[in-house]
Amino acid sequence: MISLSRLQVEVNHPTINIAGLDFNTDTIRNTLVVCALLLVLGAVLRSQLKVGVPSQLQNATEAIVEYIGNLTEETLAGRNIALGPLAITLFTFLLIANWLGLVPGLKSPTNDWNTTLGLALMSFVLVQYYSVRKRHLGGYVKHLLLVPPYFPLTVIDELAKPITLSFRLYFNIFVGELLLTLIIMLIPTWISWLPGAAWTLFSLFIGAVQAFIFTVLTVSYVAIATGVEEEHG
Amino acid sequence: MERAIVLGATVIAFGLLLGLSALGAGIGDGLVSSRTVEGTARQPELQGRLFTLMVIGIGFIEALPIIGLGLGLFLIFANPLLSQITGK
Repeated sequence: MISLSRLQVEVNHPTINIAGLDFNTDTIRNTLVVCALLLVLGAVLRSQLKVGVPSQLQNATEAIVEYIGNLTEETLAGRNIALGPLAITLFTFLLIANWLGLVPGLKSPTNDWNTTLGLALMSFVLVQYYSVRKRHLGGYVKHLLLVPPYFPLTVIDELAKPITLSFRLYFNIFVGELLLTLIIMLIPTWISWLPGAAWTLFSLFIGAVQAFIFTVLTVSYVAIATGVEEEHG
Repeated sequence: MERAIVLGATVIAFGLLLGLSALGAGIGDGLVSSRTVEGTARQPELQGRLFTLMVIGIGFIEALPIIGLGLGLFLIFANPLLSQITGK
């Protein structure tokens, strides 16, 4: 029988207090690690850029850039909004961030709700900005009050988007890392590498899919908010 | 006594939460992939786009049991009901 007290998993982030605000030091450090990795990757890629036979790294990066860029353009077709760079940045950042937690000794910055909520709030502000730009302020208010009794529902709908967006990414990464710890703690050492390896492979997949979904959803929300809905008046 | 009741109820809740969310997600995953296979069989040239759509759909569906699992593990490891009783 396993006593619960033996199963103390450390899920709290070490914090420092600056001017009355708590900062999660490990999240900040890991975010900076991801940024540094991306910067180094970009510098290396830039220095090795070739037209003839590109290196494998260049090929892979070009594939990502082209795929996400094309997807963004298709989603936002005919809207005169350029979100390609943002989408590619979001995707690469989240991809590296989600995979960082699979390196022993490191944690994903996305296993902290603050990170994902911050990114989701960015996407929220972006959506509202483009919505206002498309309809102007009067049209925006009119759009919210399209069917006046439904106004609270419309507001809740808008506010639920960043919440679900952040929860989806946060819990996927957080639970992935927690389960990896639990597998190592609960299963006898001589066999724990097998489910550990399987779960790590699955986490690679989950991390990529969730990064992709976050990016696609951000772009789609902008596309929906700036959609053509003239028939409503 | 109260402690035992809360612990037992928590474990039952965890089991229900995990089982039901996995059940729903399993049905959803099955629907999505079966329709993708059907679509691919009908129009093989669309396989790439269908696969992307399938992965997005599965990502949505899979997020729900994982959120449930996260909340369940929170119930198990940092039980808010138990600390109500022990008064900590």
